[in-house]
Amino acid sequence: MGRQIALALLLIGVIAGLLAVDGLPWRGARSQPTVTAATAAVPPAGIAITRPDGATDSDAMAILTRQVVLGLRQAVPDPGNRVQSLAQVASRVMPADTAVTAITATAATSATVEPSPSPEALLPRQRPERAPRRHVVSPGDTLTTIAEATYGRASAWQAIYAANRDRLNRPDLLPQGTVLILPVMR
Amino acid sequence: MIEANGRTLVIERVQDTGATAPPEFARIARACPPWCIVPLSAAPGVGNLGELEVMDFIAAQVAAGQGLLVDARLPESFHQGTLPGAINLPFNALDPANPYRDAIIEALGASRGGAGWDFSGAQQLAVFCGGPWCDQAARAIRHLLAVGYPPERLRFYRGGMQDWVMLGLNTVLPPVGN
Repeated sequence: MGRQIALALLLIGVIAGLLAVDGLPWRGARSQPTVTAATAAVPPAGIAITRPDGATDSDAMAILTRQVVLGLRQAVPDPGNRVQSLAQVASRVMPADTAVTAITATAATSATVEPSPSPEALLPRQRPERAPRRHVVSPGDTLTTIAEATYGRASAWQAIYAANRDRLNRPDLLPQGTVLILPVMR
Repeated sequence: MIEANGRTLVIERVQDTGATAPPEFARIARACPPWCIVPLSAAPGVGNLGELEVMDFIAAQVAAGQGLLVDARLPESFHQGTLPGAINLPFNALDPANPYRDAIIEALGASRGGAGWDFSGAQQLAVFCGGPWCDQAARAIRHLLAVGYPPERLRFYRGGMQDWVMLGLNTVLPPVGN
């Protein structure tokens, strides 16, 4: 239920952006290139999303842990019934409600995931544009925010979508942890 | 070429004698902290690997399904390129502050036994990160030891990405999945 609300919210937000409809309360928030955890965690007016514990850090760790466990499931051979137990682990570390609320959380996931001070954040972002780069979808990411952060213009979302059609069914649905190819722009 | 876990891994070295390091690994200055030079040894009882030993580890342990080559960096770094066959186990996911950490320990093959963990079925791990200026692999190892992971099932490749590419060895973009 919560997931459906959040997905519907994302769909509405993206459609609103595409149609350039002014005056919708959530449109502005979704087109911000960066949002803080505090503001992003607040759902748009009139739409209630229950956060089970309100702990963004915990949500981020659940997402990260789920990614790790799913990766290990592929890498670690299964000598018997371990697949079942690992599947249970994967679902346990990320209850559906957590996933939903995490979607509304900050775009700066690495900032919430990393301990502070964040070692990686201290590195200047080197962006060699010779080869496609990758982006791991974080909570709050939309194609528009990624496009603005990467190429400096929101309209580049279409190029990102086109380059990732094999793993995205819809431009407004970015599953957590999905690895997106960021194409080279000329 | 190594067959491991249903995948064919290719490890090769650049043969162009004019080749230089990729830009992100040509930098020789980094802020310390956090990017300080780390000791050769991560912890007592944890073996150290060089590049050839990493290859042996892949060919023996990883190929046999008994070991994992572990990139301890954050997912964003991992997905920009990693060692052939490596999986991502970010150091911060192993921090005691992660309330879901036990799920990872379990997924590494440990099982709960009595009062603590039974590591008899746990994977052999060879852990690396960005390079000798990166402490993330050592931190991951210390977190694992603190949980009770046997040191003899852990290995430390201090050279990491930096030394690997400086020798002209190839890196790969990890498979897109999950």
